[in-house]
Amino acid sequence: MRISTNMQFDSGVASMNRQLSTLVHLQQQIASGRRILTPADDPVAAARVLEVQQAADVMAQFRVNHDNARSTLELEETQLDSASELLIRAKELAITASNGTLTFAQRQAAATELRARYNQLMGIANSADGTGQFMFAGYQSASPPFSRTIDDLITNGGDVNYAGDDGQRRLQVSATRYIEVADPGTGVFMGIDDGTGGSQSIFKTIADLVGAIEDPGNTGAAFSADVAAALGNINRGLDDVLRVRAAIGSRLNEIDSLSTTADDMAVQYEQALSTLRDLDYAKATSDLERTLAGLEAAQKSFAQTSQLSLFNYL
Amino acid sequence: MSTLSIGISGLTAANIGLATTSHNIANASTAGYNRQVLVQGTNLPVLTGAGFIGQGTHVETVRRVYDQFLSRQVLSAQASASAMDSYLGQIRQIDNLLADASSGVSPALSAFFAGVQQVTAYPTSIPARQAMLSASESLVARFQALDQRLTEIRDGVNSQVMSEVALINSYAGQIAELNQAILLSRTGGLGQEPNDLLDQRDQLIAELNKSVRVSTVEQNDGSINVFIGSGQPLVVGNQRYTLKAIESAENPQRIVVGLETGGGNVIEFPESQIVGGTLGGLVAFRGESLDNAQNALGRVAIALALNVNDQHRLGMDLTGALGGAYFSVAAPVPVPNDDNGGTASIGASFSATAASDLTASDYRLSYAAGTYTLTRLSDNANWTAGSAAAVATAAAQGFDLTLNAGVPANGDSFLIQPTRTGAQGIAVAISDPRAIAAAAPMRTAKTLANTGTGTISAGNVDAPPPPNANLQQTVTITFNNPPTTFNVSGTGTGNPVNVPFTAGQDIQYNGWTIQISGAPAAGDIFTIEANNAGVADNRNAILLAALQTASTMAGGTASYQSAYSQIVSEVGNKTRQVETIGEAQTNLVTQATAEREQMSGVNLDEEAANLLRYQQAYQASAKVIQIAGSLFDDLLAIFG
Repeated sequence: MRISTNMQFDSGVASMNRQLSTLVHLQQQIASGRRILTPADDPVAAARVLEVQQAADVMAQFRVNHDNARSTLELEETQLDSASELLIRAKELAITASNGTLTFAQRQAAATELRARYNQLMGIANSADGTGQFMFAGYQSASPPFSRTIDDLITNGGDVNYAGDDGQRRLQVSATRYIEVADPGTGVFMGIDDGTGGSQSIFKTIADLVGAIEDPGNTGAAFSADVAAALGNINRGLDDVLRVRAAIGSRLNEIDSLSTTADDMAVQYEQALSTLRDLDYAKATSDLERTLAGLEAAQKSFAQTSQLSLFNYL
Repeated sequence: MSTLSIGISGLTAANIGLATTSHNIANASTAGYNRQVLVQGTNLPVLTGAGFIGQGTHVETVRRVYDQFLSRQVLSAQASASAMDSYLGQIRQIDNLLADASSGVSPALSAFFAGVQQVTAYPTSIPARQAMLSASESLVARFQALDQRLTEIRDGVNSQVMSEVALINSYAGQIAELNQAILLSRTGGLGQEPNDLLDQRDQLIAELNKSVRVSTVEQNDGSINVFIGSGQPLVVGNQRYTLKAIESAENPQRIVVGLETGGGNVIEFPESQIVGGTLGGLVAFRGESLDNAQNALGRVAIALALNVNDQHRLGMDLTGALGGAYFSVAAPVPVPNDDNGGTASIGASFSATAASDLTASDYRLSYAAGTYTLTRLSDNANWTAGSAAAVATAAAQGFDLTLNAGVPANGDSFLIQPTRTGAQGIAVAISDPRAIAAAAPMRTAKTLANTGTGTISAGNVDAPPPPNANLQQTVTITFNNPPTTFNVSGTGTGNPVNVPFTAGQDIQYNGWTIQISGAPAAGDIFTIEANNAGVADNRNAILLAALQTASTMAGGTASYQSAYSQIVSEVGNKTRQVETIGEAQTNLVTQATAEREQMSGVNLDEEAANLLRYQQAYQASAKVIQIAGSLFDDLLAIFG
């Protein structure tokens, strides 16, 4: 076969170029740790990386939502814990006051403490979270939901005013699960079955009890009946608070288990991403060695053959 | 005497041989050079009594070693290889643009929805809302930056088309001149071929063929006619035609190739006919990959903006006002063809179901004899109707059309690129963090005195926007005795009575939907009312956040992310394909060139041998002359 001198040079250069470009690609892969440098390297995997990355991002966002939900619910739980302790104390006070051996003057001590407890409970029901939003106001978190003083209730009758609503904020904690992170005041402090088919708030229950204790004319069987009714209401009110606390507890449990799942998923996504885009260093370095050897051989053979010329001997 | 002349003839031939060999050596690396060889013949012998006596040698011609078939093979492979090369050079830019996942749309999209989720967690927090707005700005900037880059690539294609056209014209001019020069040389050269001129012309054709695939026809007079496309002449004899880079009549933003036809007229060259060569590669890249990538990116931006806007407008912001548009999008603008004879002006807007219906294609609306035809340019699917509005409705491609003014003439057409400017035109429409409509405008309540176990859901606002005018009217639902039916009262509801009740079933009035579950008792009352001061409500933000993973695009089959991933995989696949085809074509060129070089290329060793050969022939002939001279001297000596 005839070979032209041009071809001899061109093919040598082309072969070196080819190996050099493989070498540069490998070098870039090794330097970046990525198998896929541009989508063209593996179009399917490149698109898949984006999809998996979004799934991982969404999962990470749910994980943030878990933390947000947990902190909100734990704050509410703390307030309701105080509320239930307070109601247990109110029960004790009612039982103390109902002791038939106490004189009117003696039972006033209980009334005084109950008044303090009323104000404390009002404080809890009107408590705000870390950002100044009232926790038990439903959607209308900008203003305190409960109003009216105990004196107002005793003197003028009626029930406390609730300026909130039934709104219950939820957060997305998984692809399909939205969890309540707030409870409206109506469900916690109001709507207590009063034993006669009506309903009233826990505040009115305490106010009624204090009114009965402080009424000098209220004695004997009538007083006992009033205190018994109040005790029943306080018990049912306490049940309501405990029911909400239990719900919060089960939500927190659910969030914990979702968080565990999310953490596991995050690891899996990370592995999936790594499989898709990360470089197999062992293979890459061996490829690099091989290509280097190939390039060196091409250079050496080119250098030798290109020096061959008949002119050298003329 | 004949010995002397024979010696001289050998000397001359050897001299020409040396010159030809030197010429070969000198041009060993000249592009397009075909080696030349000496064709030597014997002189006419002289008849004597002793028979024919040889009279030496003469050079018949210097021939170039050339095979038309092999050269054509190189040309054909080269046109395809050049096309793939230029295609690859362009699409690599998009491939690289999408290579870094952290600079693509994906992370910005995730960050935007993370911002929405933070607002669901803290709907009253101005910093959380501000963060969502900032994430939105980043997302918009990302869309615009990618689009900007694609536009730059498009500008680059346009200017390369212009320079390729200039190059083609220059080659065409030179080829025409060489045709003329070759004609003259042949006429004056007594039938001898002007080898070097022929090489030069072949080389120019090869260079021209790198710009655009050409076909050639050799004429009897030695000139070569050059054609492009489906036989449009570029060079005929010593005449050349001029190409011109012009704005397309259909789309002024597209620089296309036109052919000057004399009298200053320019005919637009159909792009389908510009095949092969750098120009063919550029045109194919623009038509297949660039348009598609930019449109598809625009489609993601538009779908996101329209979906978010639709949901946002169903919500209520922190000040209690109904939500407005969250993003602004650029409505498509139909471009009338330059050649339109009518006065019609066509308007376009996105349809209510655009997010789902839009495709990444461009469209052509054409008019003839009272009928409008809308053609989807990606696959030439078409629809016809009697009006622009009707044809758009029938096609349901995500945009509406109207005849704004004027009358179309037969043959008029309009180019509609619904998604082309989507990524460039998206912007955040609000700047006040309080204007984010995280809440729903209505809320529900259960009356405390209710004795049944019935509960009412938080309620949804019915799509599409705008919300019902009576959405925020107070409505009461009162259960009858027995509580198997209820009465509804409130403005806008028509106050229906004795509505049958099924627990958990949708109850819809005034543009909201609620469900009452459990067992309400007779006399139980539920209310739906304006969500006044409902700042902690995040229902609408939750629905906005849900758009992240919802399959709202491509007929409800793709999320924004998957639509974007599709662009990445399409560009990646195409790049890879072009790379592979390009490599194959380059190998073909190498092979074809090798075959040609085997025959026509200069081998310096061979030339070195030839140098020796002709040197020795020269020396031998000189010796012949010397001997002829000494013979004469001997003769003179006898007589001296």
